[in-house]
Amino acid sequence: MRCILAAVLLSLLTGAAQAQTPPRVFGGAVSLNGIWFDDPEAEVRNDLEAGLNARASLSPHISLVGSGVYGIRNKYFRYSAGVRVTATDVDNQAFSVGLGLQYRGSGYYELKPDEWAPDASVGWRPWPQLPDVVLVAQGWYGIESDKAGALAGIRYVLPF
Amino acid sequence: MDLLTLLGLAAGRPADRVISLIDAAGNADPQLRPEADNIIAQLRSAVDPANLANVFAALPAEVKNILSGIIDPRNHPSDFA
Repeated sequence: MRCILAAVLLSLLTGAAQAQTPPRVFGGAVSLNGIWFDDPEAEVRNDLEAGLNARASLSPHISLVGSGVYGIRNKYFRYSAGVRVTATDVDNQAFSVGLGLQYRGSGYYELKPDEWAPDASVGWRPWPQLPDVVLVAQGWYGIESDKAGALAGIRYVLPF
Repeated sequence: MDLLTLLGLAAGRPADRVISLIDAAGNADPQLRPEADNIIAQLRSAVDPANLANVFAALPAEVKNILSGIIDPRNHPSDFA
């Protein structure tokens, strides 16, 4: 019993020490999303996605971001890439809001057109003892299609 | 499209869309309501014109540093959205 308590305490202390991790330029995460497309006439209205997210943090406010995901129910691949500006405290590793622009594309006809889309993103690390787990939400609208969408998901930041 | 324009675009409909999503989560589960309200308040504060003006002011210097090869990373959770 003491060994178990010691292990739990050690893991919590280790997690607390890791809550403020040194910033790195490059980062990647495994992702799981619920996604909703706001076009009432679209064949694909929502899905559950799995994939990867990546970022290159270049300055306190500016990052390059991207993702590649697979829609599990509708069997599509979708990608995005662009730039994001952090609009909250740049040194707050627990919560941030990012505003940006990404090019969103897919080989799946029902997700066309491929287009540029401004987006707003929220990221939250709710558990200090699990700093690699991030909850996210994002909204966007396509400049060409004038259609909006949103996703909510969970990320596990990879250790590299 | 310059960074100032995209910030303005992203602060409008996309931010409203995120707020709708988070609000729906708070309505679906009353236990999430306080956290949802907190996140919505922080998001609204972030896209407030006064805050965006401060963000705008910092960008030219940061772009100059990036182009000069001076990289100063941060650990933003929203980068993984």
